[in-house]
Amino acid sequence: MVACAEAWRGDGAILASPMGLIPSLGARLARLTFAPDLLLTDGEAYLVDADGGIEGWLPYAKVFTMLAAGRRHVMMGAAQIDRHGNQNISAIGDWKRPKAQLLGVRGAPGNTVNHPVSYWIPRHSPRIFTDHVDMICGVGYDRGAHELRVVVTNLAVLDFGTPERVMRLRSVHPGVELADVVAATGFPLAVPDQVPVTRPPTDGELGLIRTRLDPDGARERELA
Amino acid sequence: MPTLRLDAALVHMNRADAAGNGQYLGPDPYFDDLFCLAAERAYVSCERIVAALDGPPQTLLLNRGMVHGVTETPNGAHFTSCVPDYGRDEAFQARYAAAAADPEAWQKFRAEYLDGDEAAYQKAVST
Repeated sequence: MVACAEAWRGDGAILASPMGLIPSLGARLARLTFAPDLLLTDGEAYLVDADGGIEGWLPYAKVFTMLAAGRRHVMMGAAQIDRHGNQNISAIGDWKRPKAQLLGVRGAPGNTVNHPVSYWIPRHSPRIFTDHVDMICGVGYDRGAHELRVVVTNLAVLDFGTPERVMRLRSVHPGVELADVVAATGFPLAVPDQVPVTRPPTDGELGLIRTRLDPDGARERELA
Repeated sequence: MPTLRLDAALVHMNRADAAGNGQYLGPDPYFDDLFCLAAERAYVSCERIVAALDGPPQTLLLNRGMVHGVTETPNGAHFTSCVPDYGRDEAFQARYAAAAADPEAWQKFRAEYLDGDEAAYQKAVST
């Protein structure tokens, strides 16, 4: 969650749009700590503070104006993602007769060409980190992505900080072996000589998570 | 990408007048004005037709120039929301989703709610 929160560090007063529980908790944690200017929404028509108090109006249509202006940073999920950052949330298998029909492309194409995008993947595996994406929804750096900031998983943080803009290991989470991350990635991962360890939460952040943001521990179920 | 031309738009407002001016009272106007402007014909249903619209001017989302017909259909946005008149009917949405996943259940759902007219639907969902 702290690694998700870190995705928004330095973003200033832009709209954070986290998809799903852990990214949402991360965005609220960032807002409460090192990114106090972040704009958060209630997922309906209001801008809210980290505790849900209303501070502004942002109806659906205005989200698109923020998007087009580039003043938004989304953290989405991915059923598949390749080394360039092409992402699939729509269909697995042959497009004409998919094995699984998922969400549809949703906002992924527009998001990825207009403003920063990050990804949260709770189960790092070779089926998700794949050589080939069955249907491109979010575009990768080889197809004109605006900025792919980070890919946060249950094992590691990845980014695209290579000259070719392909996926690189930025840090491994505490207690995770480098070899396990490489084995769970279905394409060759750029690995620097020294791989840092993802920073653990501070005592202050742990306190906020346990008492204010997620006192019922819903986060544990997403990672179970 | 070319713009889409709609043959018709069907939108639902909280209030409207007989001339086709439409008003939303919830937190989000969505895209209803854009749908009406993009369509050859635009039809507005509403919770209540009133003699005179009142309230903040920015709630008057639709003007009669973009509307070709208006009708009063209370609870007409069911099973979605028409805040503040009512919220989503999530219990009904769950029943719909379950029925849609099973052909036999769908036949039953259809017979129960959809095979009649608007009045029959409203009666069925209110019990």
